[in-house]
Amino acid sequence: MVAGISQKFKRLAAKEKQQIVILAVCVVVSIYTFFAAMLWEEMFNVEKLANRKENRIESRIGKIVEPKFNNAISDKNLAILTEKLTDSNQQISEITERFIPLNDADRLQQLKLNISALAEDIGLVIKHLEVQDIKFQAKEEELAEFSDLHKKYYERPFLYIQAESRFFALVNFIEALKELKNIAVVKEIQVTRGEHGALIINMKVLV
Amino acid sequence: MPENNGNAKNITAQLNKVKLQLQQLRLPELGAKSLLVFQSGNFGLRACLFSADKDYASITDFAESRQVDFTRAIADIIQQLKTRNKSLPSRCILISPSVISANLALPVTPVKTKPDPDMQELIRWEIDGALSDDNKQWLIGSMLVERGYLTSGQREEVVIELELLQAKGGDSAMVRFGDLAVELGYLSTAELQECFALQNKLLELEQDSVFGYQAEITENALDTQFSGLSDDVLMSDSDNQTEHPWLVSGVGRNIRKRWRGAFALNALKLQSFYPDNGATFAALGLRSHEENQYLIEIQPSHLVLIQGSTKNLKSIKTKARLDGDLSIDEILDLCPLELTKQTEVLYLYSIDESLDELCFALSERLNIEVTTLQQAKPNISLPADFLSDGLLPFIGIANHYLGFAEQGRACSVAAKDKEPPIWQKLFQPKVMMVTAAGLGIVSAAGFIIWMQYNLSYQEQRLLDLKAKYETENKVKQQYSKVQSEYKKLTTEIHTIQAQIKLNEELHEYLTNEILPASNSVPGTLSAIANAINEGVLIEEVKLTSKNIEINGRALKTHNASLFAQQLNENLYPWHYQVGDTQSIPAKETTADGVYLDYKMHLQVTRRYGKRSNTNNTVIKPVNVTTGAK
Repeated sequence: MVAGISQKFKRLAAKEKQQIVILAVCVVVSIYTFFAAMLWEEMFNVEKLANRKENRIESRIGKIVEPKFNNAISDKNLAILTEKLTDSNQQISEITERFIPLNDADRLQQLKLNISALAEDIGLVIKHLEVQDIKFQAKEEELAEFSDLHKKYYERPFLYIQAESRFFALVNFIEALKELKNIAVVKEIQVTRGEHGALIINMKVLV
Repeated sequence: MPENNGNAKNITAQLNKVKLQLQQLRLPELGAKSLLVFQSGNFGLRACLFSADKDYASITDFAESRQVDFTRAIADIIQQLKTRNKSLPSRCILISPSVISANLALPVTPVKTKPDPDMQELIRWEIDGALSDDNKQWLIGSMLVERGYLTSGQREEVVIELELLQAKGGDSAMVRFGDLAVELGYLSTAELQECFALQNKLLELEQDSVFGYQAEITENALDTQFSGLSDDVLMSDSDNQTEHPWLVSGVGRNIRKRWRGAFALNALKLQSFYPDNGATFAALGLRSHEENQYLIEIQPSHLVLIQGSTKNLKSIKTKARLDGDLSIDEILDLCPLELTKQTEVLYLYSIDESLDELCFALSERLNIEVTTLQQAKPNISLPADFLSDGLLPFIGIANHYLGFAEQGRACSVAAKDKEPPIWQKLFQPKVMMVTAAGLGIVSAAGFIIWMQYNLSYQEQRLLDLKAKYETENKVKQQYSKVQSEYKKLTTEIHTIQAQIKLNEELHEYLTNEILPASNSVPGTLSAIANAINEGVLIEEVKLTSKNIEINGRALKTHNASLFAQQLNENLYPWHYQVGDTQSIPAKETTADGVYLDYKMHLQVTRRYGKRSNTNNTVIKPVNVTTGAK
């Protein structure tokens, strides 16, 4: 077949041969151009995708740096600290559970009653008794911060007591306060000598 | 300035002269110790092996073949020579009647020859009319006679018979010479066919020929050459104003190619072609040194008159021979009128005819010496029917080729076109076009290959990047998760640490500030009470968690001091110490009507750390009148 085509070609006139050669060259160039264009587009797209991916890696991931950790920050340490906190809370609780809850007016009144009864028993004449700096606070569980929980112990209310007694009765009264169920501690006391040797007492009792 | 121009022109002219001398100077070829010289003709192919010494090449062997095919004829000769010689040279030259020779006047100065293609074209134009009388040697009659298949007498008979038949007319008048000779029984059909085959091979039908050229060399060549030429002409590239004599030889390209191929097949490198006509003139130059030389070659089919000098072949004239025996008139017609004036000797050469009578007759008619050019039989074996005079063309041409004969006495045609320099080849349009096409194809292919390679590379890169992205993203997420957990853990730990700290602070507050007060207050009050001595009256005690103020009266400052000292002692367990103390004279009684001489005021402060060494317990007396401490 090839030989036949070759023979046919040889038999053609020079001008026809030239035309066929030009046509063949044009066809080859066209095919080449088409193929090259397709290949170029494919190559361009793949390169674009690769560049985009590289850019994405650079922008989204960047340079990965291995994080450095403090050995003190560990679950084990957390457990130790948690245990320590529990112990600490326990210690605090042992002390603070004797404070009257600031949101419990009944217990406050009961404490006042107990104190007045105690004073009467000892011979301390209470002339005036009032609660000062009382701020009924929200329930403990509603306090958001641990520090808020602690504030109530720094801002305890006082019972301001104005009374008259002898010295030993005063001392016995103050000593007897320790025996109360709830904490009642004399934070400030002013003792003034009154007439006939009686002592005029002004004291602030932290409850 | 004109003088300078003149000097420059003189220098240029001198350089051109030197150049001409160098061009004309042809040294014997180094290493060309032996040479094979072939001669083709109607007889077939002959060859002589030459051995050269310092200034002459002599025949050492001879061989002949009557094979019609060139290749076989050469092989036949090589085989013959190899049987008698250990080695044969690879280079050879060929004397052929296919090579024509002529003297031309060309507008080209020998000083500056034109490029070879230009010279070829110029000679092709000029030589057109010089090919007229040679063709008779290719007539079948001449070939048959020369190859020995037909005698001259038989040829004459055939010619007469042919003329009679043609005169009668009719179909018989159409018969050809060869066929008639076969019919008459003078030769066989095979012999006739052999001559036809040889005729086809030797006869150049194409007009495309290639030429060799040789400028005429004169005794005072340089002076004569440039006489009358202006410096401008000498310095210009072309010389169209004057014509110069050139000896040229030409051979058809196809003939040349055929012969070169035939020799190449037998491992021989054909170097040059020489014309058969005038070949003996080179040999004559080895013997005669006369200024004007005339030689007539008597060939079976034609006569050749060669005129020249010691250095040059100046003219060559060919004339077909008439039928029948050679007559003196044929020769006299060929000879120019001025022959007798220019020379005293006329040389005749024929390979197969006895010329004694002719020489004598010519000598009588021309009144000059007429002699035959002969070659003594060399010391080699020759075929029985071959006369030693037939070696003269070989001797002349071999010595010419090897540079032992004057170069102007013969002209050769190169067996191969002179290769142009590589840079010229590269700049030929065809080569450039092919190179450009090649470069274009290579570039196009390279571009495709590059794109394919880059595509593969980018695809692989994309895959790698995807894998990298996935890996790094996973790693980053893991790192992020770990960092998040770490941060959370850190926060928790810090929170717990803060809570513990708050707890500690609270615990310290409660245990140091609040709870101790339940014991310290009654203790402190008791300590104050226990410190009271007989001269002291306490009016007021103010107790806070940080300090205690005590106001009272004292009988004397000593009592106050004792009180203060005792108080300091008593308060030590309760972490108080007496600080500033004052004792001033009293002016009024107490609220309950007690009057003591001094008012006292003690400032008791919280004690931290070790017990102070300072003794503040001594009450400082204060000047009552002045109130100063």
